[in-house]
Amino acid sequence: MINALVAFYAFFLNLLAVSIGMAFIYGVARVLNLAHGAFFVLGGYLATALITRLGPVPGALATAAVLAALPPLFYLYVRLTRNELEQLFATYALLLLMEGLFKLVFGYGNYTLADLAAGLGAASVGGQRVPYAYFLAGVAVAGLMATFYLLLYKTRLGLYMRAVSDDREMAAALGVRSPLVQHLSIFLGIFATALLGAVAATWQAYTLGLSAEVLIYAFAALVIGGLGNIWGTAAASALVAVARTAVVMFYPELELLVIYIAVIAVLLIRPGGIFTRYARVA
Amino acid sequence: MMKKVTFRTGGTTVTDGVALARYVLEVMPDVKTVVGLNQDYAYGRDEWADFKNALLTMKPDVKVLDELFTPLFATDYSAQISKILDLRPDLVHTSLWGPDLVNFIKQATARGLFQQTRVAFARGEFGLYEGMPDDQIVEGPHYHGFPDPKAYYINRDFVEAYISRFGSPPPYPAYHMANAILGVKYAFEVAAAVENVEWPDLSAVVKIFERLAYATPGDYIIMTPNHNAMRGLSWASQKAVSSLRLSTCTRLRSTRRWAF
Repeated sequence: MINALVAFYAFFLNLLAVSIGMAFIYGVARVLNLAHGAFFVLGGYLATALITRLGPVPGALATAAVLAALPPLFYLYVRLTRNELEQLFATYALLLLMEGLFKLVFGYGNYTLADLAAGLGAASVGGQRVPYAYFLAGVAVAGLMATFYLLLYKTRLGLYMRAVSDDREMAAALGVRSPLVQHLSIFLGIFATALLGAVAATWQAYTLGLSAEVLIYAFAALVIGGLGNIWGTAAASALVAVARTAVVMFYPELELLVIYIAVIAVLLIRPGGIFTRYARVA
Repeated sequence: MMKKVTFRTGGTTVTDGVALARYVLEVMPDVKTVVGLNQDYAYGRDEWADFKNALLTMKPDVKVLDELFTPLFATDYSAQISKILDLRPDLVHTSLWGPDLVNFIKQATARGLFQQTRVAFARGEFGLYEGMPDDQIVEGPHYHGFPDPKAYYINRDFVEAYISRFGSPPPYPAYHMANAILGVKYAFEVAAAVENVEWPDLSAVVKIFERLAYATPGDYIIMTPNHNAMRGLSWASQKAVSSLRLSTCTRLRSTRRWAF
């Protein structure tokens, strides 16, 4: 039983890490970011490269600094597009560009911090070995979610973000500077994604071609949870993690299909997503 | 026309499963329970089927507890590791390769899987460079330490040239390329000698290649009339050498199978 719980917890963290940033970017700014996976992977690559070179604390700080400086580049690139179709092309092109850059800068190897994380040791929970790195990652993700909660529900900017996410034109009519709020939420989404990619380096290895895999899981969690709703995304990640762990425990043949079955079921029964209260307006 | 000029110097992957089953029974003659963890695509399914059938043919009382299949390039193996920890088999068979192999080794080491059960890696040679734990069964189509470069000059020259150029020992794809290039080279040379011309006719080359046998850095390849190769692979139990970052294998062996 404890093993199943650990498996659920690990996969839940995994899904949450890949999909939270996308909820911000799509929810508030309506940018369909096909390069989302590439930013996640970029965070992992950077973290591994810098931490192994500079040591844990300076490396982590250096990673955060680089990642904070990066989003404006993406924003500038996306603002050149005029409609959603162009956005799709532009972000897909960005994905391919970034994959090429990874090959150029980082090469073909496997980049992971798992060895470093294993050095932290493990706790024995109910007779099973659970690495401390898993708890640390959980604390990091929980901290990020708490920060988002405070941002969205306790600050003026968060209020504007929620307003723009519901109805951009109405918010603009009421005096909210919608374009600026959207730009800021893109920055935040990219930064969060890359940061979570860095955290995820403690349990997975990064290599070429991973961006596309990550993108599929992110979209699945986002679609199931309701586009643009970060609590919905979190709940959807939990749901998919439960489904996948249960499937592996009881009927493993289905594991390849389970996430797609979940997405198809949600799209057929409740296309807006499970955790939305009303249809989107704009 | 394509079939006429297509030659496969890599052999088929049936040898992976069968050879691994034979070695497992040699080092673990009392194995009772097996779990399979493979990727859910043609190679993973075929490899598991080959291994399972070979093992059950040679030792029918082995019980297959479960057959787990993961999507290709999945990053998270926590559910599968949990299931294996619950089932407690004697042996886990896996044909994971590349990034999946690395992810699985890291995550399984963190959860303590290798203390509890032994894992047979059908394509594990890459894992040797990425922290393979002790005492696991590792198999790969080629390994830079076999045939021993100290004893076999072709491999010694190959490994030394590769290291001086790229900085690390050659992995199995390098050996596959060497096999292919050397095969083509020898086919043309032999055909030219037989026909007594400067550059031989293509049909002569094809006829020669169908029955060519040649030595390569990693192996001795015998081409067969249906254009497939008969070649060996290497497998062993892994044992870490503490002074080197790289692990070496003890009791390296090779085998040859009629595989078409």
